[in-house]
Amino acid sequence: MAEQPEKFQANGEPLSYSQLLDRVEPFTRFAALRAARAARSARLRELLAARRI
Amino acid sequence: MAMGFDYRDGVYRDLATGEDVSQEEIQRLLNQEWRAMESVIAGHFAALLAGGSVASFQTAMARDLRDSMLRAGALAAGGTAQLSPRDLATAEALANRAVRSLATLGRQLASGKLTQAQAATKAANLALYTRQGFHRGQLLQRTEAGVLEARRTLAGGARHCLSCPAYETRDWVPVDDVVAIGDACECGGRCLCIVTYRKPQLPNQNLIEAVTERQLAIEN
Repeated sequence: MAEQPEKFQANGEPLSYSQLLDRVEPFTRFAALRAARAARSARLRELLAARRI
Repeated sequence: MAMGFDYRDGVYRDLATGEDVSQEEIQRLLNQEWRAMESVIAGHFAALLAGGSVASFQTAMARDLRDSMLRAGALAAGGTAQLSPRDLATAEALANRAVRSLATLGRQLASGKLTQAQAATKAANLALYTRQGFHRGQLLQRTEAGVLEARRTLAGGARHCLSCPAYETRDWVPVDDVVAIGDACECGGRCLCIVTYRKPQLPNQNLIEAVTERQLAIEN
């Protein structure tokens, strides 16, 4: 009879779905960062247009 | 190379030269992202085998997998600048499914029900979410941009699972009738099926008939 391959057991307790979600950043944060960058760029353009920088 | 997707003509463009970027090049970039994710997963799995905790493995996997899915979504949209909030919400929904799969895998790893080979395969398969993120994102974005026709074709050399032939469309069909690659099939997007998109070419009797039939079905 063929030998059964040994099972593998990892260390420690696994994280649940909600615990894992708490450890990642939502993609909406990416959208917020992009919006902030766009706002900064718009502000820079205004300042440049006014020759203040 | 910085590029974007030109929704007017339905092609990817190199933003520096204005030249078209071929579908083959987009597929190459997607495959590159997918293979890179497989390699990252192999690294995390090696750390687990070396005695790392299952929680650390899950956390590192969740972060890297989501990053990869975001990059694939951006590739589908034609760059990060073309990722709309709706695209991000769609990517988030799929990324949450990936995290759910990771939670399940974590339980299996901790309970000792899998062999090492089984565990390695299950972990590597999570990289397929990258491909699904690309295909699902592309379908949504093209639909929103008014690219209303699509065609799904099988790759040559039968490089697909048993489900794929049923999803092939022999002609251009309304985009809603195309099943995104990786959805509801055994290969999960590992196949090399191709979906191409176009704006309706008028007159297109097939499309008009399909829309009319659908409208009649709704009215009845």
